[in-house]
Formats: sequence, structure tokens, C-alpha cells
Amino acid sequence: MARRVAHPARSARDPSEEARFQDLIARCQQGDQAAYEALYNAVASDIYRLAYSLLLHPQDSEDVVQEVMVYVFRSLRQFDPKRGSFRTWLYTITVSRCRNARRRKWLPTVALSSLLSTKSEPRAPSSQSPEAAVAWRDACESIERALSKLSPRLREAVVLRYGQGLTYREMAEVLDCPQKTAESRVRLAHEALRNSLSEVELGLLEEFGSA
Amino acid sequence: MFLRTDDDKTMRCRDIRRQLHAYLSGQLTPAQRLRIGRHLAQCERCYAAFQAELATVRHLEAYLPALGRPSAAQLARIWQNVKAQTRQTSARRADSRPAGALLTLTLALVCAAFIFRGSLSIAVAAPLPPSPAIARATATLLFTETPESPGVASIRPTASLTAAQARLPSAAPAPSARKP
Repeated sequence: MARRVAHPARSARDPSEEARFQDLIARCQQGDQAAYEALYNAVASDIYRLAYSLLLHPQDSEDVVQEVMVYVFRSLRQFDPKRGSFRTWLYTITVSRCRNARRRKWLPTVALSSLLSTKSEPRAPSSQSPEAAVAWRDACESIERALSKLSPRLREAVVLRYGQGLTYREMAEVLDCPQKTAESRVRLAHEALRNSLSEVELGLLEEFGSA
Repeated sequence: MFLRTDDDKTMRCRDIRRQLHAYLSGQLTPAQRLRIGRHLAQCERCYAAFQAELATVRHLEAYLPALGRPSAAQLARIWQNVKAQTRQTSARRADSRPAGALLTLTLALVCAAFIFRGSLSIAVAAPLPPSPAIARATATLLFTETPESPGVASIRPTASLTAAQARLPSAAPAPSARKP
């Protein structure tokens, strides 16, 4: 009995998206101010999600997005499409900035957001009932707690794979490691996540995760 | 006749479970997939492990893309900061341009002054060719250590220089002239 499981083959290298980026980059280099804003709107949300999943801290994530975008706008001339996609380049910069942010924060600090309750909460799909929305939020918090227990390297791997939908090849490019290492990190992250989630949390995740 | 022991089965199960992730993410060859599929159909424990792995993949695929989605207000705030920072940098660059040009001009003038002064002093200091007698006398002037101040070099004529030698011209060229 062979059960075939479909795994979505997603990639950061979407040809139409890449062509759009190339067009925007060319316009930016000609000094088109609207192109800068369009480029920001196209990628900022994904960069924030990546930064937040790695740092689990809203203010630090905002800072990282700002740093990354300023750097990208200044260094657009350095981007070489022959060496990889624009998105992969962006993710490489973002992961690097997140590592720097983590290093800067090696001293234990209390997040201001936790005191002011400004923590970024995952928004439930709008069609859900209030009860379902609460359950969704609880499930997301369980995942976030489990992620926070992962080592930074494993977290990077699992977030790039499932949060951003990168292939192992692209992950290897972003993480600057062999493809086998990227695969192995994701496998280890699965094991660690399974071990850190309780039965109740797994049940909660099952409610939405298998839908 | 080959008998399969429990140890063999344990090893095989361990090997299969290690490959479950690759199986799910489509990283295996058709032959490997077939082998794992057949094993899962027969082994309950490995099938349970497969189900757990599958559930993990589904959970991560469902929740991670939703984690940390920024609000429109957050994105607008970041954009304002990015714009302000980019403008500041451009303004700083524009401000530093005249200063940079001035610095370059000053450096060029200083260099030119040095070169001009150097060539002038060389021209002034260049002596007329010495007479053979003076040249010979110069040749015998050696750097020697004075007994009063050991370690300090001073110029002293050696005993080989006589007044007559200094006065008399000679056909032999000065040592400095002999060198190519």
C-alpha cells in the first residue's frame, strides 16, 4: 500500500514575479520614486513575516525590515540576477540581519511589547466564527512557543521551508550550506517540534492544520 | 535459507523512519519510494511514525505562513522610516560632495607644491662637477666612529689623505665616477 502524499512544489523563483522585480529594479535605478514604493509593497510583508518568525519580536522585526529595505535600495546595483533570484537575495540579507539582531540581544531583555500588549498576533481568516478565531490564535501561539524552543539554525530552516515556501536548493543558497544540510535541519526541526508540542496542542493544531 | 531476526527488522525500521521526511518531500528515487511504501503497508509502528511526520508537515504548512503577518499600519510606519532614512543618506551624500571635491583639490595642490619645491631644491643644490683633486679627497672621506662618541658616525679624513694628494691632480677617476 503506497500512500502518495502531495507536497506543494513551491519556489521563490517564480518567473513572472522575477520579471516584475527586474522591471521595478530597472525603474528604481532610473530614479523612479514610485518604483521604490512598489518594490517595498511587493516584498515588505514577506520580509516582516520571515524576520518575525526568526526573532519572535515585533519591534526587532520592524527594525530588521527597515534595515533590509534601506540596504536593498542602496545596493540595487550589486544585485546580479545571474547569481540567483531577487527574493533569494532579499532572504539572504534578512536572515543575516536577523542573526545580527539576535547577537545584539544576547543579554536577556524584557520586550516592551509584552509590557504594553502590542504583540503581533496572527490574524485568523476573516470567515471564522469568534470561537474558531480564538482556537486559531491558540494554535498559532502553540506553534510560536514550539518555534521559540528550536535552535536558531533549525528555526531558520523550518521557517524558510514552510513559512516562505523555499525549495531545499534555495534554502541552501540563503543559509549558505549544502542542500543535504538544509534537508537535515528541517528533519531535525520536525522531530524537535513534535517533542515540544503537547497532546492538547497537537489536537488544537489538527483542527486547522489538516483542513 | 535466510532467517530475518528482530534486530534486522529494527534496523530496517530505523532506516525507513530516517527517510520518512525525504519520502514526504519527494526527495527519493521511485525505487526508494516503492520500498518505503511497501514497508509502511506492513509495519504499523513505521506507519504511525509516517502519520506523525505527515501531521507535522501539515501543521507547519498551515500555520507558518500566517505567523507574524504585519498589519497595514505597521507596513506604512516602516515605509515612512525607510523613506526618511534613505533621504537622509542621499542628503548626506549630496552635502559631502562639495567637501570631497575641496579636499581632493587641496590634496592635489599640496602634492603639486611638494613636487615643485623638490625639483627647485634639486636644481639649487646640484653642485658643479668637482675638480679631480676634490673628488679624490672626497673619495677618501670615510664614515668612521669617533672614539669620543662610540656609535655615532662622523666624517673624518683618513690618514691616507695628504695635503699633496689633495692638491695634485690625478688621471685616476674618483671612485664615484668609476661606478656605472
